[in-house]
Amino acid sequence: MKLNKIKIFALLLSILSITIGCGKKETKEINIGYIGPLSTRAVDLGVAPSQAMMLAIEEYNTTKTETQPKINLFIEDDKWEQDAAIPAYEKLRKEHDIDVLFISNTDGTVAIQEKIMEDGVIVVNPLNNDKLLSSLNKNTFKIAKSTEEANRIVGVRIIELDLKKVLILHYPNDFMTIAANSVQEILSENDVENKVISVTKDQTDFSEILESAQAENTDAYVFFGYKDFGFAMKQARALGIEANFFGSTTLLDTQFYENSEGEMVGTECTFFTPLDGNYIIANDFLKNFSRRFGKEPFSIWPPMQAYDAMNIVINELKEVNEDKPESKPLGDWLRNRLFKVRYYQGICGNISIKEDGSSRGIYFTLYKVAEEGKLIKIKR
Amino acid sequence: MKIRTKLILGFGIIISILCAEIVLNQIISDNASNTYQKLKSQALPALDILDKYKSINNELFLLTSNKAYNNDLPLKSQNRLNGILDVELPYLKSELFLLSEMFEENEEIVRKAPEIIDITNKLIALGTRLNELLITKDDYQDPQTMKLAIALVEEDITTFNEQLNTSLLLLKINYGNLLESYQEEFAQDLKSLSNIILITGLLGILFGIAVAYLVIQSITKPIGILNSAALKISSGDYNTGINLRGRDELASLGDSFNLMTSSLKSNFELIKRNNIEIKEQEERFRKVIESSPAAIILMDGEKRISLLNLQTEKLFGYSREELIGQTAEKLIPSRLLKRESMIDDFFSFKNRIETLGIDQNFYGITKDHKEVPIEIRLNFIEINNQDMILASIIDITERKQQEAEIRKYVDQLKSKNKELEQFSYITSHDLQEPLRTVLSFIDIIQDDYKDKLDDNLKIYLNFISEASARMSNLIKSLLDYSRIGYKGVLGAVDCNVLLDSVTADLNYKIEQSQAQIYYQELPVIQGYSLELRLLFQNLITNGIKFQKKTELPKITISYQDQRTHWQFNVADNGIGIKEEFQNKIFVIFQRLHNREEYEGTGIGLSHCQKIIELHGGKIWVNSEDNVGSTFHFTIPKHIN
Repeated sequence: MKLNKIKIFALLLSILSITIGCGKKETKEINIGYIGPLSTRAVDLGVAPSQAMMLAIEEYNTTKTETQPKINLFIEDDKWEQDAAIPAYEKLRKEHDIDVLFISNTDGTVAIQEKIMEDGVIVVNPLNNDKLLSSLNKNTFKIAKSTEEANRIVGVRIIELDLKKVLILHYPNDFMTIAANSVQEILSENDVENKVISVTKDQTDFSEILESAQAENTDAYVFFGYKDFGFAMKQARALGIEANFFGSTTLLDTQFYENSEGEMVGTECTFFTPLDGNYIIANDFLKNFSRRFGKEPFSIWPPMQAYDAMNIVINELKEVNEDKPESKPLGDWLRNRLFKVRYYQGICGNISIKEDGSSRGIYFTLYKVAEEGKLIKIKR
Repeated sequence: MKIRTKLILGFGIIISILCAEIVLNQIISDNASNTYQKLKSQALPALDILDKYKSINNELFLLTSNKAYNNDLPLKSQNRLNGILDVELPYLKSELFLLSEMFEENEEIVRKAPEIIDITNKLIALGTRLNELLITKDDYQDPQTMKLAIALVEEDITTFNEQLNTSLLLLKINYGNLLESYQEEFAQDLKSLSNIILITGLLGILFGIAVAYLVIQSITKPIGILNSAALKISSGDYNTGINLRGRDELASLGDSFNLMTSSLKSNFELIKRNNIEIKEQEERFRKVIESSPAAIILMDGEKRISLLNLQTEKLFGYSREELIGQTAEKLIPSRLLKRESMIDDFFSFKNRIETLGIDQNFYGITKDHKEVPIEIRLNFIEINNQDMILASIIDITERKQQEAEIRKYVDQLKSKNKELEQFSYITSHDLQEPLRTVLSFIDIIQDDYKDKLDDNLKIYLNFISEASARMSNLIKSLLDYSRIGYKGVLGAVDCNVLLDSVTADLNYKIEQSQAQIYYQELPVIQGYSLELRLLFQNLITNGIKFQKKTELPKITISYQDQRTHWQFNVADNGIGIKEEFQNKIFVIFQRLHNREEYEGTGIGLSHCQKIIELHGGKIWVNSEDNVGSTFHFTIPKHIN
């Protein structure tokens, strides 16, 4: 009789442990990778965004509930080179088994397309959002301003200023090429004479091009690139070129300014500040950023976009244990969730994600370099 | 009806009212909750979306109008327009769609939603078209483009804007009314809830008051009667009875009360009787105490006097009032009080009766400072858990005088005895001489004149010789008797050695008679060695001598340690002593048998008695005729 009771008790215990054991397996941690330029070139597009993403993750991890997964961020430097993207990605996958990847470089985003589809990893570009990227696979999201739109403003401005001959120099990567093309497109549509020249990667002497343009009475110079175009600006002014300078979203790079030796002042560019987004929460972000990292970012828009992009992803990932069916891969689940983001009130604006994975709601405006590190809004 | 039943019934009804209230509350709360849910999940979100929709629609209209009429739109406004077209309107569309799916098919919002979404799509398309038309400054300066743009705004955007606003307004009115009706329903539910609580609460209170009143009435009235009856009883009127009508607990209590009163009455009567008896007993006791020839004092542990009798007053000359509360030491002479140890010993005995004064020369002191010889018996008793000392004091002045006189007579007697002993010693000693002369001359006559004596004379001379020899023996015995303790030395006597010696001396007799002598390990005692030897010798000889013809003599010597003295027992299996002769055997020259039967002078046991008296002990016999005798004697451990 006693033995029977023990057997029944053991059976109940087994059933209980099996029941508990068969319970839904919770996702305890999710690893996210970030590949960006932390050195060499365009560091303003890499360092501050990585810090902004780190801040977003820290804010989440400290306030998350017990059932929500912890999120870890692992960062790799691509030196703003397309070729570095795949090794960095593979390293992140191998060492940290990342499920989500943030990557700033458009060329790099293109380069890892095949890999992420194989691995089922979701990729988010938090800086650029152009038609090329939108044509990539379904796992790629672009939570950023529209590259074409942002740069098109420069074209509209040139037309508005009634400038008739424009030289567009651009760095040989996808983003700058698209930016140059979008300006060229609107200029051409409006019968403004223009010339687009793609410079070489490490080119620092632009004298020949500039002299030629000067000879052709070019009255607007567009520099779509990075710090090396500082030399171009300096060389242009040295040649006596007094025409208007225009730039892209990358002007607030100290090295850029230094290379121009101050000749950058007066250059008009497309940019984004808290005034262009949801000011109050954008301002809070900058304060928190400053408190966490000791100073505000030099170029504001990259970390602001990265912060919004990371928060949109976190906003979905935190529901993983509540919403994701166990059998469904995380990548598939997250992709579907991101596609359903219709309205997210971020610091950059009210953001939605379209069917092609691109976002809407972040709009750049025109600014002018007033002094080193300072932009002022252009009143038209 | 019993109070318990009344209370159960009352509370039962109150609980029923509360249950009814709970059920009604639950129903109405559920209703209110449903209404609130509808408010929260349908009416309010619908109105919220409609408000937002309307606001965005108006903003879109303003922005597009500005764009068309003001030649140029600030970039920030343009970005806002883009945001509306890209994000806000698509979002509102999807929200409206999702909301409409939550409603029933016949709901207005479900019917209107597709129309609103359609208009929204058209507005988004028109806005986008306007954005495409007016991009650069040139566009604004191109009359054709501007004409198209203005037409777009004035005709299309304005129309759809109004249509959308109208649809939104209609829906808003509809859901505003719905909201109002939900609010009213909700308010009505709350009011109903409040009314139910109020009504059931009032009912409960009224009923509670009624029940409480009835119960209180049914309790207080009988309690009042019980109270006044109890007061009467407390004032000693045990004849009070109460009559509580009804069948409830208090009526039962009334019956019990009557029983209790009756019981109390009989108990009090019994107590009265007992009190009288106690008083009588007290009186008797008091009289006994008072009439006691001894002075009686009751003291506490501190020797403080709490009770005394008349004899105490007489003995010590103090009045009762003078002694009560004083210590007993007041009645003891100060010279004795100085002997603290003695006084402390005196009072330290507990739980036993201790007599003081006898042979202790204890004295009391009177009020006149006169010492009185007293004998005190102390009895330690416990009264009410307190140790008390009861002292019984007798004035022994008279006894002391009598004792002195007795002592005087005893001394005189002792002196006379000594004289008598001296006399008998001298007499027996001096009598031996002429007797020895007589016997010598008889021997001479018998030896020298035996041929000359005729037979008769020879017989006569034999008689004379035998009588003289017997007389000599008697005189010798008497001399021995008088010599007992004469020059004796008191010392330690090992009875084992003594008996070994005695049996050795009697060896011939023992062998002859085949007697068996048994003795265990005997003690070493204090005594007169020679006399003790004679004592054992006499008793063993007697045991051998007075033996039955049919049995061999068997003598057993034993002893008991009796704390203050040794008790020896010499038992034989001899002829025994008839009970009527047992008190004669210690008398000097007393014989129970003729000489022919058992030889001897009849002084042996007198010797024994004298030896024992010399040692301060006692001797006696237990005997059964023809069975045997046991002689018992005691020797004190300490001989003065």
